Amino acid sequence: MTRPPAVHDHRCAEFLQSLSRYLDGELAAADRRAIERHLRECPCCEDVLDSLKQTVAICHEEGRPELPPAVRRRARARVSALLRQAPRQRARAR
Amino acid sequence: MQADRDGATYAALVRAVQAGDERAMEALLMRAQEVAYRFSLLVCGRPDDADDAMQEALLKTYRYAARIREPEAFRAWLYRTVRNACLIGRRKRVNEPEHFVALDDAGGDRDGHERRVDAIDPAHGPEEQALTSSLRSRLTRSLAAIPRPYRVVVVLREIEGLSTREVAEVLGISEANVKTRLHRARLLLREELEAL
Repeated sequence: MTRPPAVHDHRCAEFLQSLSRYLDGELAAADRRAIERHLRECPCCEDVLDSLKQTVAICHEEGRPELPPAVRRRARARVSALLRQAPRQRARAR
Repeated sequence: MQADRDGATYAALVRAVQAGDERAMEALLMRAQEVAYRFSLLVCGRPDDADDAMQEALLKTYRYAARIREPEAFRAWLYRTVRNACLIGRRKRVNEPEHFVALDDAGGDRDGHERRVDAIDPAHGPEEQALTSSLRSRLTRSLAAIPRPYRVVVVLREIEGLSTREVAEVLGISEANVKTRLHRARLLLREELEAL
């Protein structure tokens, strides 16, 4: 990702505050169109939007790996032990 | 979206557990532990505490899953439980860790064996795996560098896929506050990812 140039327009600060809501599709149609008009004219804000999209994509793609095998084995062993013990405990409680 | 599928899966598993399906209980208990593991590492940065958090999530899920009246509320309850378990672990210590451990590096057992033990995925070549691992490591370090109130929101929303409403429930803040924090968190994370 490349860092965009510094904010150069007072409107940019205003639009930057709404970029996440734009990204998440939460803006009203009129606000969305206003941002899209601004993005066409402002490479600075367009770069910020692109890098925010990349940041979100990295979280989605890289944030949730499988459990490492050793951790998974311990997790499975705990589940098996709990489910083995539980019926005996319920029987004793009766 | 992934978040919606996950939410529906949790609710379906809870319903199956309540109908007496033991396999569903096994699946739910594994998911609860996976959530606790990721949360411990990504939010608390304490791989040593992950086992404690996983144990807590396991036992509480086992006790609660059969009793919950609204299966759709289970996922937020689970993350709240895991967050509380991590916070309790954290209160026992004074400081945050100096270095977070990348998710790929945290698979060692208590004796320190079997670190970096992720299985090779035959679908990806060594170069692609190295790239993925490096990106994941950058993400972990970048998350560790941003303040915890922002880190927890971005982990819950972007990585764990909870809805804005669920994140608000887990953290006990308003949805508007979640959105504000998420925007700030994305900007901070972006800066950190660019800096590495």
